[in-house]
Amino acid sequence: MKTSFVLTLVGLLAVGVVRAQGPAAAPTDPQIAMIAVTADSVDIDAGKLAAEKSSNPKVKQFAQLMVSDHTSVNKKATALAKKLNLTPEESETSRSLKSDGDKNLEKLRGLSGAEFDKAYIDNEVTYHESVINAVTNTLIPNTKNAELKKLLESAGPIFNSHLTHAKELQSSLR
Amino acid sequence: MIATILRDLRQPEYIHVLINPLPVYGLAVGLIGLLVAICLRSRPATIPALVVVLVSAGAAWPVYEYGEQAYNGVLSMADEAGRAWLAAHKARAENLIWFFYALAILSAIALIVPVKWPKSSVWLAIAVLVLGTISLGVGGYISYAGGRIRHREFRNEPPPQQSPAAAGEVSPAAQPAGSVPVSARVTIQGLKYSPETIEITKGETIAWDNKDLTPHTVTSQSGGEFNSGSIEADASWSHTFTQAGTFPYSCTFHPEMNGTIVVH
Repeated sequence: MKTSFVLTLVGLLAVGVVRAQGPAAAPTDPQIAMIAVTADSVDIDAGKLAAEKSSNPKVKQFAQLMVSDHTSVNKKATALAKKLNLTPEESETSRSLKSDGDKNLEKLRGLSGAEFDKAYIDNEVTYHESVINAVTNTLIPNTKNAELKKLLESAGPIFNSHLTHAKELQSSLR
Repeated sequence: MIATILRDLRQPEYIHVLINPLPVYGLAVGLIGLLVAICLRSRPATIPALVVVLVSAGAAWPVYEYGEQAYNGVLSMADEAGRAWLAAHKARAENLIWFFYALAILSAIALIVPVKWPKSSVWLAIAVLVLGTISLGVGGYISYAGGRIRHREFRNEPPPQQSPAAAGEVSPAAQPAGSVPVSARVTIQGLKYSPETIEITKGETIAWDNKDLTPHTVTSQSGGEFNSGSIEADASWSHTFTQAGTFPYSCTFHPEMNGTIVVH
């Protein structure tokens, strides 16, 4: 059940990325801004739920870090979009990110205890891997505006740090 | 059930809240007992009252320690006003905790000394009562700020404004950079401190500029020497080093970030 969900998530994200990668559908800067903001918001929502619901101090702390880091990145992204007079625009990728995020939340709400912690952290690992992949291979190469590109590039080390942290937690929960 | 309780007991913020009524309500009960014992001029009644005061004042120590451990976790969950109250709560506790330690020592003296000099019993009990009453006020003052960190419904006034001098080391992230002459600057970017190692002489000040997208901290690895608290994106924090030595530090949010300060 869990595996199938993660596979679906990866699948949908991959479809979005592959579509976005096609020459006809290379994402525009407004779409990239929306994808970045949505990707952050999805992780903030999951983090808020885990910070409230998990009783494992390490998972809770990780979730709190996700909320504070992604909120801070989102603040920067929103401020930059405003400065550049860029209105974020929805796309297939941002829509699938949001609906997958909602599905994940729904699933997590039905779980508790160790089962919840495992599902949350497993998803964080897969999610960060997918996001890093999308940012590196699709978003950065297609971004036209230099400031937006710089923002995405600076987010790289942060997402990598989250992935390492999530993987460590994943192996400690086994 | 037991597993849940054990898991809760591993959370410093949980233990902090669980035991923090002791130095306030426990102390109040002990002081009432002591007042009655003094009025009755009864040494046998004074002893249990002093024991309650001793235990309650001594409990301030674990409350303080678990509070310090819980700081970063609570900081990351608090809203802006909550962070200001948290900074005030921490500053008040760090400056005033000594009242409780002094009270614990005094009540221990009041228990032991009269065994040899019985006449001192009443005067020592009165001294404990006076210091205990002051400590009770101090405890109320500390916990007043603590209760407002997460309980928005209790906030009937704006959060405390911190002057850089009053903030001291507690919330220096709010301290404007440049208020003291800075000898060296460290840039925080891409989850790195740059330069990673910096050498200064005693009395010099280093400023850290957070150019990253997320909050970071500058926290000495050995504990007490320095701790910036959360430095928000685009904010700065500075610290004056008054002691010679080598101080490795890291970010409590992203432990892979490491730096070293060498003070000659």
